[in-house]
Amino acid sequence: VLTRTTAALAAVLALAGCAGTEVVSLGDDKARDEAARGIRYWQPAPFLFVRSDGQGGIAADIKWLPDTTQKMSIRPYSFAALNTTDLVFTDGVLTSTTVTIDETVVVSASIDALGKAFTAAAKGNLDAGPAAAPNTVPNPLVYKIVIKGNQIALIGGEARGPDGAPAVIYATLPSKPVGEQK
Amino acid sequence: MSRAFAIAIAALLLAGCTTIVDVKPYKGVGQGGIRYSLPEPYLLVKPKADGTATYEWLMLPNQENEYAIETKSFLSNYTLTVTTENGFVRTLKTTATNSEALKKLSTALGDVAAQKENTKVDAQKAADTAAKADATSYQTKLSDAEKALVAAKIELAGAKAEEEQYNKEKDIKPETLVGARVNVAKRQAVVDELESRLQTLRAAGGAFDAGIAAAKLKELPGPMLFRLIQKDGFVELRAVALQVNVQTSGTPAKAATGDKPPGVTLSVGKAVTQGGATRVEFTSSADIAVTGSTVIDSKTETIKSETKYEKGTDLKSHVLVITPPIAKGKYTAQVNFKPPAGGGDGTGTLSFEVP
Repeated sequence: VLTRTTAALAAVLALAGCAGTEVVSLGDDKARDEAARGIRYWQPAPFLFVRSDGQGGIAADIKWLPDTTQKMSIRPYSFAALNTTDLVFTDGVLTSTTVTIDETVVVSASIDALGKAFTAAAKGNLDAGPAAAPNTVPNPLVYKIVIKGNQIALIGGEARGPDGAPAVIYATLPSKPVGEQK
Repeated sequence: MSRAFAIAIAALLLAGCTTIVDVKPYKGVGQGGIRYSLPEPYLLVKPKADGTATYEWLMLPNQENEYAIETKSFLSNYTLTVTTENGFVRTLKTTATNSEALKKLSTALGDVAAQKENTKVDAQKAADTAAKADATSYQTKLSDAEKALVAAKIELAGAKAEEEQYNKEKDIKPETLVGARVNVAKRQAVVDELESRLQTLRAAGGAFDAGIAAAKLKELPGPMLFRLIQKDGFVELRAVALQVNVQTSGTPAKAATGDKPPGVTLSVGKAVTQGGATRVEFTSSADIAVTGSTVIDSKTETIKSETKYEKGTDLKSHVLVITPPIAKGKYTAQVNFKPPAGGGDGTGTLSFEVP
């Protein structure tokens, strides 16, 4: 009886064997971060990066950068089963995996198209800003492209100095020594 | 079924029981596991002296997001391989891969931290090398010019002695005496020209000395590093620190090579003698500023008359004014010029005939 029971139990357990990958969104919640047990990584987010092209115009493109407000945790596991999982990260962002993490398809082409439209708006901001001093480099601008439903927003603006005021980037020596500018 | 069979089944099951990873926030010394950090985006702006800049996105580790990976397995043959790059997790897989840990990190950070120190050393070496090369070249030119002048003066002295000897001879043929006088004039012209060149070269020596000083270490504003700060509904590029000056040396490439007018050609207009001067009109295929010229006659003798330039209606129209006027005949002028905004020298040749 014992032998039959053991064999049956073993068979049940074998059939119940499982493996998989657990993915949890942590956001920027520290408590959830403490409790999570998987490899942390950032979700990527599109940013519009605008700067002077040094030839009288501007250059702008979409940069996919880590969204440091969206932390993720991924944890492969197995129980009585084989689990082979390959995860590849680039700049803290999960870029390749052998498991399906998210069914959401991010259409990069659409974002790129949006970038062209946003460039014009950003150029307006760049032009509207105060004229750069002759010995300074125009401030770069960075906007996060946030898409919620039908609404698209650009969040960000021009680069700031350590004190929070618009940054001043000198290319040649100013009248005052660098480090004393305000 | 036997007991042995049951044990074997159980053993097989246990062999498969495993938890692959357990990742916890890194708390400090004593905590085991493979440590890694989540990256944070930074923008490195490197200004250039021409008023432009280069922009580079860097991913640097943030200690507030540092973790330790532990493997927990029980009777498992599962192999976990974690590859890190720049302190970040690069791959997590069952087979080993290459690792370039920390190599690129030092490169990236070097743009900001190591640049100050490295630039000082490299810049001083470059300054010393450039100054040494320039000094060698200048001294060679100066020595050659001085030797040429001495040789010309010797020839002039010989010509003068010959002329003086002919003057003493009563039955000398007039053409011989004229020939001797012409020879003296030619030698004198050569000496004058060489003295002029030597004077120019010595004047340039002053500039060269100034150049030596300029070639030594100078300062330019260094790079600026911006951190991309992200919060809910807020994004900002914030400079990490104030911009500091970094030492540099050498001559900007643009100034060193100059903007030599490409393919400028000169075309002669009419040449007339009137009002106590010979005026030669000419045009250039591009805007130029004439800086000087040398006019020689058909016998390849440099004329004694003074030459100067008048601007025409635009920067492509010019007039060569020769005072006093030169005799009828064919002449060739070598014209030196520069782009109006300054830059490298250009030369062109004008062939004209004074009627």
